Amino acid sequence: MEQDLTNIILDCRNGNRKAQEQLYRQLYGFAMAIAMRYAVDEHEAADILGHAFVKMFRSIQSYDATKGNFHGWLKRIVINESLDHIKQRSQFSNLMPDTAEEPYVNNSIIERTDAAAILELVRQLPRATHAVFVMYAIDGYTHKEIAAQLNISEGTSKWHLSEARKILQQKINALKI
Amino acid sequence: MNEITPYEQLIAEKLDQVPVPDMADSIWSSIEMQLDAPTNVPEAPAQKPASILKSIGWYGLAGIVAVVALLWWYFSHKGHEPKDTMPPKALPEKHAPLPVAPPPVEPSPVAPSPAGPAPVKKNAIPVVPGVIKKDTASSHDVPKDSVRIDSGIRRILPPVNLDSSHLQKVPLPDVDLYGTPPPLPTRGKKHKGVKGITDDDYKISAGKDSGRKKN
Repeated sequence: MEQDLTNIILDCRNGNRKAQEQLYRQLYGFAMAIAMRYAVDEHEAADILGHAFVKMFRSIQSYDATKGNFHGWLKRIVINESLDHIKQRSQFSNLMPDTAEEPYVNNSIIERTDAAAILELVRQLPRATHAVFVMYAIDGYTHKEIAAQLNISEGTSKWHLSEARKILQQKINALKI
Repeated sequence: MNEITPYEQLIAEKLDQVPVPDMADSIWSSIEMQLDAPTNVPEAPAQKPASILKSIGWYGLAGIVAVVALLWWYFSHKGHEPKDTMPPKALPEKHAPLPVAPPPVEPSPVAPSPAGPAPVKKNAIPVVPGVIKKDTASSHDVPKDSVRIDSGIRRILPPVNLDSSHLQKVPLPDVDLYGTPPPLPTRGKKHKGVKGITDDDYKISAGKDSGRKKN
Protein backbone atom coordinates (compact mmCIF):
# COMPACT_ATOMS: atom_id res chain seq x y z
CA MET A 1 0.00 0.00 0.00
CA GLU A 2 2.76 2.41 0.98
CA GLN A 3 4.73 1.33 -2.08
CA ASP A 4 1.70 2.04 -4.26
CA LEU A 5 1.40 5.51 -2.75
CA THR A 6 5.08 6.18 -3.44
CA ASN A 7 4.68 5.14 -7.08
CA ILE A 8 1.58 7.28 -7.47
CA ILE A 9 3.43 10.25 -6.02
CA LEU A 10 6.25 9.68 -8.51
CA ASP A 11 3.75 9.65 -11.36
CA CYS A 12 2.12 12.79 -9.98
CA ARG A 13 5.51 14.52 -10.06
CA ASN A 14 5.62 13.76 -13.78
CA GLY A 15 2.27 15.45 -14.24
CA ASN A 16 0.34 12.25 -14.86
CA ARG A 17 -3.30 13.27 -14.56
CA LYS A 18 -4.49 9.72 -13.93
CA ALA A 19 -2.05 9.37 -11.07
CA GLN A 20 -3.21 12.69 -9.65
CA GLU A 21 -6.81 11.54 -9.68
CA GLN A 22 -5.82 8.24 -8.13
CA LEU A 23 -3.93 10.00 -5.33
CA TYR A 24 -6.83 12.38 -4.77
CA ARG A 25 -9.39 9.62 -4.44
CA GLN A 26 -7.11 7.65 -2.16
CA LEU A 27 -6.66 10.60 0.22
CA TYR A 28 -10.09 12.19 -0.16
CA GLY A 29 -11.61 10.85 3.07
CA PHE A 30 -8.57 11.72 5.14
CA ALA A 31 -8.28 15.26 3.77
CA MET A 32 -12.02 15.93 3.76
CA ALA A 33 -12.30 15.02 7.44
CA ILE A 34 -9.69 17.68 8.24
CA ALA A 35 -11.37 20.31 6.10
CA MET A 36 -14.74 19.52 7.67
CA ARG A 37 -13.42 20.37 11.15
CA TYR A 38 -12.40 23.87 10.13
CA ALA A 39 -15.19 24.67 7.71
CA VAL A 40 -18.62 25.85 8.74
CA ASP A 41 -20.35 23.63 6.19
CA GLU A 42 -19.74 21.01 3.52
CA HIS A 43 -19.50 23.48 0.67
CA GLU A 44 -16.77 25.44 2.35
CA ALA A 45 -14.99 22.19 3.15
CA ALA A 46 -15.17 21.20 -0.51
CA ASP A 47 -13.79 24.57 -1.53
CA ILE A 48 -10.94 24.26 0.95
CA LEU A 49 -10.20 20.72 -0.19
CA GLY A 50 -10.11 21.64 -3.87
CA HIS A 51 -7.65 24.48 -3.32
CA ALA A 52 -5.57 22.33 -0.98
CA PHE A 53 -5.20 19.54 -3.54
CA VAL A 54 -4.33 21.97 -6.30
CA LYS A 55 -1.59 23.43 -4.11
CA MET A 56 -0.44 19.94 -3.22
CA PHE A 57 -0.16 18.86 -6.87
CA ARG A 58 1.65 22.06 -7.83
CA SER A 59 4.16 21.72 -5.01
CA ILE A 60 4.47 17.97 -4.96
CA GLN A 61 8.02 18.32 -6.29
CA SER A 62 8.99 19.84 -2.95
CA TYR A 63 7.68 16.91 -0.91
CA ASP A 64 10.56 15.23 0.93
CA ALA A 65 9.72 11.75 2.19
CA THR A 66 12.65 11.84 4.61
CA LYS A 67 11.04 14.70 6.56
CA GLY A 68 7.74 12.99 7.20
CA ASN A 69 5.02 10.88 5.69
CA PHE A 70 2.80 12.10 2.91
CA HIS A 71 -0.32 12.19 5.08
CA GLY A 72 1.29 14.59 7.52
CA TRP A 73 2.44 16.79 4.64
CA LEU A 74 -1.04 16.83 3.11
CA LYS A 75 -2.62 17.51 6.52
CA ARG A 76 -0.51 20.65 6.93
CA ILE A 77 -1.51 21.80 3.48
CA VAL A 78 -5.22 21.30 4.21
CA ILE A 79 -5.00 23.03 7.60
CA ASN A 80 -3.06 25.96 6.13
CA GLU A 81 -5.64 26.33 3.38
CA SER A 82 -8.41 26.18 6.00
CA LEU A 83 -6.74 28.88 8.07
CA ASP A 84 -6.32 31.04 4.97
CA HIS A 85 -10.05 30.75 4.39
CA ILE A 86 -10.80 31.64 8.00
CA LYS A 87 -8.42 34.58 8.03
CA GLN A 88 -10.09 35.97 4.92
CA ARG A 89 -13.48 35.82 6.57
CA SER A 90 -12.78 36.76 10.18
CA GLN A 91 -10.58 39.05 12.20
CA PHE A 92 -8.27 37.87 14.93
CA SER A 93 -8.01 40.65 17.47
CA ASN A 94 -5.44 40.47 20.21
CA LEU A 95 -7.17 39.62 23.45
CA MET A 96 -5.84 38.65 26.85
CA PRO A 97 -7.33 35.63 28.62
CA ASP A 98 -9.45 36.03 31.72
CA THR A 99 -8.82 33.98 34.82
CA ALA A 100 -9.08 30.53 33.41
CA GLU A 101 -11.57 28.32 35.13
CA GLU A 102 -11.63 24.65 34.37
CA PRO A 103 -15.03 24.05 32.80
CA TYR A 104 -17.05 21.14 33.97
CA VAL A 105 -18.53 19.03 31.21
CA ASN A 106 -20.35 15.80 31.64
CA ASN A 107 -18.38 13.41 29.44
CA SER A 108 -21.25 10.98 29.29
CA ILE A 109 -23.23 13.56 27.40
CA ILE A 110 -20.53 13.78 24.76
CA GLU A 111 -20.25 10.03 24.50
CA ARG A 112 -23.93 9.73 23.90
CA THR A 113 -24.08 12.54 21.43
CA ASP A 114 -23.89 11.95 17.70
CA ALA A 115 -20.61 12.96 16.03
CA ALA A 116 -22.40 15.23 13.57
CA ALA A 117 -24.14 17.00 16.46
CA ILE A 118 -20.82 17.52 18.21
CA LEU A 119 -19.35 18.91 15.01
CA GLU A 120 -22.32 21.23 14.70
CA LEU A 121 -21.69 22.51 18.24
CA VAL A 122 -18.07 23.23 17.39
CA ARG A 123 -19.07 25.05 14.21
CA GLN A 124 -21.33 27.30 16.26
CA LEU A 125 -18.29 28.79 17.96
CA PRO A 126 -17.08 32.18 16.75
CA ARG A 127 -14.86 31.70 13.71
CA ALA A 128 -11.54 32.55 15.34
CA THR A 129 -12.41 30.68 18.51
CA HIS A 130 -13.50 27.72 16.43
CA ALA A 131 -10.15 27.65 14.60
CA VAL A 132 -8.10 27.91 17.78
CA PHE A 133 -10.13 25.21 19.52
CA VAL A 134 -9.80 22.75 16.62
CA MET A 135 -6.10 23.44 16.22
CA TYR A 136 -5.40 22.99 19.91
CA ALA A 137 -7.86 20.31 21.04
CA ILE A 138 -8.17 18.23 17.86
CA ASP A 139 -5.02 18.67 15.80
CA GLY A 140 -2.60 19.05 18.69
CA TYR A 141 -1.07 22.44 17.97
CA THR A 142 0.50 24.35 20.85
CA HIS A 143 -0.45 27.92 21.64
CA LYS A 144 2.90 29.04 20.27
CA GLU A 145 2.25 27.30 16.96
CA ILE A 146 -1.29 28.64 16.80
CA ALA A 147 -0.06 32.14 17.49
CA ALA A 148 2.48 31.83 14.69
CA GLN A 149 -0.05 30.39 12.25
CA LEU A 150 -2.73 32.99 12.91
CA ASN A 151 -0.40 35.94 13.51
CA ILE A 152 -1.73 36.47 17.02
CA SER A 153 -0.19 36.38 20.48
CA GLU A 154 -0.11 33.27 22.58
CA GLY A 155 -2.33 35.07 25.09
CA THR A 156 -4.94 35.61 22.42
CA SER A 157 -4.74 31.95 21.47
CA LYS A 158 -5.31 31.01 25.11
CA TRP A 159 -8.21 33.43 25.35
CA HIS A 160 -9.89 31.84 22.33
CA LEU A 161 -9.41 28.38 23.81
CA SER A 162 -10.92 29.53 27.09
CA GLU A 163 -13.87 31.03 25.26
CA ALA A 164 -14.37 27.84 23.29
CA ARG A 165 -14.43 25.76 26.43
CA LYS A 166 -16.95 28.03 28.11
CA ILE A 167 -19.28 28.04 25.16
CA LEU A 168 -19.01 24.31 24.57
CA GLN A 169 -19.62 23.63 28.26
CA GLN A 170 -22.83 25.55 28.13
CA LYS A 171 -23.96 23.99 24.88
CA ILE A 172 -23.06 20.42 25.84
CA ASN A 173 -24.66 20.71 29.25
CA ALA A 174 -27.69 22.13 27.52
CA LEU A 175 -28.10 19.01 25.43
CA LYS A 176 -29.42 17.04 28.39
CA ILE A 177 -29.58 13.84 26.49
CA MET B 1 -5.46 25.69 30.28
CA ASN B 2 -2.52 24.14 28.47
CA GLU B 3 -3.74 20.57 28.80
CA ILE B 4 -6.37 18.86 26.74
CA THR B 5 -9.31 18.02 28.88
CA PRO B 6 -11.01 14.60 28.79
CA TYR B 7 -14.12 15.96 27.14
CA GLU B 8 -11.97 17.57 24.46
CA GLN B 9 -10.39 14.19 23.76
CA LEU B 10 -13.88 12.77 23.44
CA ILE B 11 -14.82 15.55 21.06
CA ALA B 12 -11.75 14.83 18.94
CA GLU B 13 -12.68 11.17 18.76
CA LYS B 14 -16.23 12.07 17.83
CA LEU B 15 -15.09 14.41 15.08
CA ASP B 16 -13.03 11.64 13.54
CA GLN B 17 -16.25 9.66 13.24
CA VAL B 18 -18.00 12.35 11.29
CA PRO B 19 -19.05 10.90 7.92
CA VAL B 20 -17.44 12.50 4.91
CA PRO B 21 -19.83 13.90 2.29
CA ASP B 22 -19.73 12.24 -1.10
CA MET B 23 -18.43 15.17 -3.08
CA ALA B 24 -15.31 13.56 -4.48
CA ASP B 25 -16.34 13.78 -8.14
CA SER B 26 -17.44 17.39 -8.08
CA ILE B 27 -14.36 18.44 -6.15
CA TRP B 28 -12.11 16.53 -8.56
CA SER B 29 -13.65 18.28 -11.55
CA SER B 30 -12.91 21.64 -9.96
CA ILE B 31 -9.37 20.49 -9.19
CA GLU B 32 -8.87 19.47 -12.83
CA MET B 33 -10.10 22.85 -14.01
CA GLN B 34 -7.71 24.62 -11.67
CA LEU B 35 -4.84 22.40 -12.74
CA ASP B 36 -5.58 23.04 -16.42
CA ALA B 37 -6.08 26.76 -15.91
CA PRO B 38 -2.46 27.64 -15.17
CA THR B 39 -1.28 26.12 -18.45
CA ASN B 40 -3.65 28.29 -20.42
CA VAL B 41 -3.90 31.47 -18.41
CA PRO B 42 -1.39 31.81 -15.62
CA GLU B 43 -2.25 34.05 -12.71
CA ALA B 44 0.80 36.24 -13.04
CA PRO B 45 0.15 37.14 -16.67
CA ALA B 46 -3.42 37.96 -15.79
CA GLN B 47 -2.15 40.71 -13.55
CA LYS B 48 0.44 41.93 -16.02
CA PRO B 49 -2.03 43.01 -18.67
CA ALA B 50 -3.61 45.39 -16.22
CA SER B 51 -0.27 46.92 -15.33
CA ILE B 52 0.72 47.00 -19.00
CA LEU B 53 -2.50 48.69 -19.93
CA LYS B 54 -1.93 51.20 -17.18
CA SER B 55 1.61 51.81 -18.31
CA ILE B 56 0.45 51.95 -21.91
CA GLY B 57 -2.23 54.37 -20.85
CA TRP B 58 0.29 56.62 -19.21
CA TYR B 59 2.73 56.28 -22.09
CA GLY B 60 -0.07 56.86 -24.55
CA LEU B 61 -1.19 59.94 -22.69
CA ALA B 62 2.37 61.21 -22.58
CA GLY B 63 2.74 60.46 -26.27
CA ILE B 64 -0.45 62.31 -27.13
CA VAL B 65 0.69 65.30 -25.10
CA ALA B 66 4.05 65.22 -26.87
CA VAL B 67 2.40 64.99 -30.30
CA VAL B 68 0.03 67.83 -29.50
CA ALA B 69 2.94 69.93 -28.27
CA LEU B 70 4.92 69.20 -31.42
CA LEU B 71 1.98 70.00 -33.65
CA TRP B 72 1.34 73.20 -31.73
CA TRP B 73 4.99 74.17 -32.04
CA TYR B 74 5.09 73.22 -35.70
CA PHE B 75 2.04 75.23 -36.70
CA SER B 76 2.95 78.14 -34.49
CA HIS B 77 6.43 78.12 -35.99
CA LYS B 78 5.01 77.69 -39.43
CA GLY B 79 2.68 80.57 -38.78
CA HIS B 80 5.66 82.80 -38.02
CA GLU B 81 7.53 81.74 -41.12
CA PRO B 82 5.11 83.25 -43.53
CA LYS B 83 5.44 86.53 -41.69
CA ASP B 84 9.19 86.25 -42.06
CA THR B 85 8.95 85.24 -45.65
CA MET B 86 6.57 88.00 -46.57
CA PRO B 87 9.14 90.73 -46.27
CA PRO B 88 11.46 89.06 -48.73
CA LYS B 89 8.61 88.94 -51.21
CA ALA B 90 7.96 92.59 -50.72
CA LEU B 91 11.61 93.42 -50.95
CA PRO B 92 12.15 92.07 -54.41
CA GLU B 93 9.25 94.05 -55.67
CA LYS B 94 10.71 97.13 -54.12
CA HIS B 95 14.10 96.28 -55.50
CA ALA B 96 12.69 95.52 -58.87
CA PRO B 97 11.78 99.06 -59.56
CA LEU B 98 15.07 100.25 -58.16
CA PRO B 99 17.12 98.36 -60.66
CA VAL B 100 15.05 99.83 -63.37
CA ALA B 101 16.03 103.33 -62.38
CA PRO B 102 19.75 102.72 -62.00
CA PRO B 103 20.26 101.07 -65.34
CA PRO B 104 19.73 104.17 -67.29
CA VAL B 105 22.13 106.05 -65.06
CA GLU B 106 24.92 103.52 -64.75
CA PRO B 107 24.82 102.10 -68.22
CA SER B 108 25.52 105.45 -69.70
CA PRO B 109 29.10 105.59 -68.48
CA VAL B 110 29.82 102.08 -69.57
CA ALA B 111 27.98 102.50 -72.81
CA PRO B 112 30.69 104.48 -74.53
CA SER B 113 32.89 101.50 -75.21
CA PRO B 114 30.40 99.59 -77.35
CA ALA B 115 28.82 101.22 -80.35
CA GLY B 116 25.17 101.88 -81.13
CA PRO B 117 22.15 100.73 -79.20
CA ALA B 118 23.61 97.34 -78.57
CA PRO B 119 26.34 98.66 -76.29
CA VAL B 120 23.82 100.15 -73.97
CA LYS B 121 22.15 96.81 -73.65
CA LYS B 122 25.47 95.15 -73.02
CA ASN B 123 26.32 97.67 -70.36
CA ALA B 124 22.99 97.04 -68.72
CA ILE B 125 23.83 93.41 -68.36
CA PRO B 126 26.48 93.83 -65.69
CA VAL B 127 24.13 96.03 -63.74
CA VAL B 128 21.34 93.53 -63.95
CA PRO B 129 23.39 90.78 -62.36
CA GLY B 130 23.88 92.88 -59.29
CA VAL B 131 20.20 93.38 -58.93
CA ILE B 132 19.40 89.81 -59.72
CA LYS B 133 21.80 88.58 -57.12
CA LYS B 134 19.68 90.30 -54.56
CA ASP B 135 16.62 88.67 -56.00
CA THR B 136 18.18 85.25 -56.15
CA ALA B 137 18.89 85.36 -52.44
CA SER B 138 15.65 83.51 -51.90
CA SER B 139 13.56 81.17 -53.94
CA HIS B 140 10.74 83.66 -53.77
CA ASP B 141 12.89 86.14 -55.56
CA VAL B 142 13.01 83.98 -58.59
CA PRO B 143 9.36 84.26 -59.38
CA LYS B 144 9.68 87.94 -58.87
CA ASP B 145 12.25 87.95 -61.57
CA SER B 146 9.36 87.45 -63.88
CA VAL B 147 8.92 91.13 -63.33
CA ARG B 148 11.99 91.47 -65.42
CA ILE B 149 9.69 91.29 -68.34
CA ASP B 150 8.19 94.53 -67.23
CA SER B 151 11.49 96.05 -66.30
CA GLY B 152 13.60 97.71 -68.86
CA ILE B 153 16.59 95.61 -68.01
CA ARG B 154 14.86 92.37 -68.79
CA ARG B 155 13.62 93.69 -71.98
CA ILE B 156 17.17 94.38 -72.80
CA LEU B 157 18.23 90.89 -71.91
CA PRO B 158 16.83 89.09 -74.92
CA PRO B 159 18.78 91.22 -77.31
CA VAL B 160 21.87 90.57 -75.23
CA ASN B 161 21.58 86.93 -76.11
CA LEU B 162 22.07 87.98 -79.66
CA ASP B 163 25.46 89.38 -78.75
CA SER B 164 26.87 86.11 -77.64
CA SER B 165 30.40 87.44 -77.93
CA HIS B 166 29.87 89.91 -75.10
CA LEU B 167 28.10 87.38 -72.97
CA GLN B 168 31.03 85.08 -73.25
CA LYS B 169 33.23 87.83 -71.91
CA VAL B 170 31.14 87.94 -68.78
CA PRO B 171 30.45 84.27 -68.19
CA LEU B 172 29.43 84.06 -64.57
CA PRO B 173 26.65 86.57 -64.31
CA ASP B 174 25.10 85.85 -67.66
CA VAL B 175 24.89 82.12 -67.38
CA ASP B 176 23.58 82.00 -63.82
CA LEU B 177 21.14 84.77 -64.15
CA TYR B 178 19.55 84.05 -67.46
CA GLY B 179 19.74 80.32 -67.31
CA THR B 180 17.70 79.80 -64.13
CA PRO B 181 15.08 82.53 -63.90
CA PRO B 182 13.33 82.49 -67.27
CA PRO B 183 11.19 79.36 -66.88
CA LEU B 184 9.57 80.04 -63.49
CA PRO B 185 9.29 83.79 -63.33
CA THR B 186 7.85 84.50 -66.71
CA ARG B 187 4.83 82.35 -66.10
CA GLY B 188 4.07 83.63 -62.63
CA LYS B 189 4.26 87.34 -63.14
CA LYS B 190 3.04 87.76 -66.64
CA HIS B 191 -0.17 88.99 -65.15
CA LYS B 192 1.65 91.99 -63.76
CA GLY B 193 2.23 93.25 -67.20
CA VAL B 194 -0.32 95.47 -68.84
CA LYS B 195 -2.20 93.77 -71.60
CA GLY B 196 -1.97 95.38 -74.96
CA ILE B 197 1.26 97.20 -74.18
CA THR B 198 4.42 95.88 -75.78
CA ASP B 199 7.97 96.54 -74.78
CA ASP B 200 8.32 99.18 -77.44
CA ASP B 201 5.26 100.99 -76.19
CA TYR B 202 6.66 100.94 -72.72
CA LYS B 203 9.87 102.54 -73.86
CA ILE B 204 8.06 105.19 -75.71
CA SER B 205 5.63 105.70 -72.88
CA ALA B 206 8.00 108.03 -71.08
CA GLY B 207 7.89 110.37 -73.95
CA LYS B 208 4.20 109.93 -74.35
CA ASP B 209 3.63 110.69 -70.71
CA SER B 210 5.70 113.77 -70.88
CA GLY B 211 3.81 114.83 -73.96
CA ARG B 212 0.51 114.27 -72.17
CA LYS B 213 1.65 116.34 -69.28
CA LYS B 214 2.55 119.02 -71.67
CA ASN B 215 -0.80 118.75 -73.30
